[in-house]
Amino acid sequence: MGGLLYKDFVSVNQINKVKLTWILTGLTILFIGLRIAFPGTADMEVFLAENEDGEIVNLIDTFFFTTLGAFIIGTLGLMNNWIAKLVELDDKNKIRGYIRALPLDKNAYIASKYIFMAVSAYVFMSIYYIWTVSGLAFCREGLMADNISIIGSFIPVFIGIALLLTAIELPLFILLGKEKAMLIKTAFLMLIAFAVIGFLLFGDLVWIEQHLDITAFMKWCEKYKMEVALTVMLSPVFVLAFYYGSYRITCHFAAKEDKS
Amino acid sequence: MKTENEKTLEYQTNTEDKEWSRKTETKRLVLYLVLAFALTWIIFFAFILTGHQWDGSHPNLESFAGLGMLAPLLAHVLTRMITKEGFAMTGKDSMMLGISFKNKKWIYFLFAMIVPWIYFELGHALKFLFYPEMFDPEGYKQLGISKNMVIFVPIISILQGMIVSFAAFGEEGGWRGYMMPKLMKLMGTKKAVLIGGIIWGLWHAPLTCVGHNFGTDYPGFPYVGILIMCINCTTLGIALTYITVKSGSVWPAAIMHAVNNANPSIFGIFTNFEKADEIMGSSILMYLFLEIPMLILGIICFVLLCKEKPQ
Repeated sequence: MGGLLYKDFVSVNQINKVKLTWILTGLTILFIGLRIAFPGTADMEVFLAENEDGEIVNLIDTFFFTTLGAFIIGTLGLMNNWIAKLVELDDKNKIRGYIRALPLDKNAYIASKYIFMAVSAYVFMSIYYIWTVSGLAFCREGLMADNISIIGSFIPVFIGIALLLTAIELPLFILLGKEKAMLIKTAFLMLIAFAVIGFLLFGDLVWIEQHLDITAFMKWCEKYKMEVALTVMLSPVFVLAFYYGSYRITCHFAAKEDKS
Repeated sequence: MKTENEKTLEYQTNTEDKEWSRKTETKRLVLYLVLAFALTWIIFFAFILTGHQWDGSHPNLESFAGLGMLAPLLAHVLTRMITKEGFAMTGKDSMMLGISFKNKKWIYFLFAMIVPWIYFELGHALKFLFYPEMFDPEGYKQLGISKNMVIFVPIISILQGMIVSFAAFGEEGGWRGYMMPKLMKLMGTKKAVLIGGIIWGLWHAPLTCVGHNFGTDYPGFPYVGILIMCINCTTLGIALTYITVKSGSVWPAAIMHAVNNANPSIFGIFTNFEKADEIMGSSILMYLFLEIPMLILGIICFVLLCKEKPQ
């Protein structure tokens, strides 16, 4: 199993001849270094602005908040892209055929993919926490600090969503192969995109405007903070249960496929 | 049959090999310790020299200083790069990063999640036994939660500890993943766990001097704090070393450390902290009550660890 995981690690670690581990380490050091060099707590007037509510916001904090959000979305997308890459490389190198010839558990190949993606999710979650802690440490108190703090508290949910998507995508890629799985994925994403565009063109946007109240949501979160915290903390447990279910289903169908 | 000369030569070679190996291991350990202390203390001293105290600073800045917990793992990786020991994940002289649930090893993961909760509850119960006036039946209101949610507080702490376990993993990846195996090889289990605990306690010293864990208002500050930290690190360190040895992985230790740092407890919620300050004068005495069950756990693990056959 260790060998299979290492193979997957080597496959995803190389991006245009630059190792991903160095990219992530470099980004983290750069982010921390810049944050220390440009603290939002230092009141340099040139960077201070007043928002609609009359609150003073440091634009440096806004920059770091945006960067943090972009980093998180970008790396989650990158992780999602790995599934296709791993399966494609394995198909190209006929890895599954070789593994069948080895004295390994018949589900080892499938398990390695699931474990690899789960470990990656844990690593990314840890990196997000490091970025969030660094982002918050030198942030001016107020709106931006609250925003970064909210990102920090919802990290398990972001990772949970990424794992849920992985749990849906992995069976498709493993059982159907890259091409068919990509076709289904693209069709599904296009369907969602069309639905959103359709709603924006013909839907009742006034209803959203009336009912989407972020301030009220924040107040609700504050009122039921323990319940919210419990839900956020329990979300990875439920997601992992679903993830395990997905693994069992994939194993079941892979065994059927092998028999036939 | 070997001649007398051959036997003497073999004995000398073996002794020289052992001596060489011992010297090499000592050098590696010293290198690791220098790196671990230097990398962490740069962060800690940057925090202190910019005029921050642990109690007076913003919690966000304290969390940032807490990233120093990652330094022992970084020191471990750097030491292996310098000494060319390799980066094996499992097996002999490895980084012990593998996870295996075979041979009932899952028990140590469960142990890591549950045991801190148990010893914190016992510690708080002991505190109420000696000072019942510290018990506040409406203490949960301090957290702004309903009574029904009290049971979920330790569960949230345990889950939070596990989710944010990367910081504790940073420490355990270094202390249990590199320092303890080297110490155990050099001086045997008994001495190793004691020396290892003291080293780990001293590593915290700069933060203890600015009020981490015990505040600054206690008799004998900061020396008593450093001493208690060394005792705490030794007792907890024994339990952590025990589960690392038994599971062959640093992950249970990382989980236990993280859950320990999250302080899961129901009794703790019912503490009237104003009364506690009045009665005890400083938080260090309250800490000692929590230390008693941990000390018992440490002794049990120490006995079990000494019974273990050296691997």
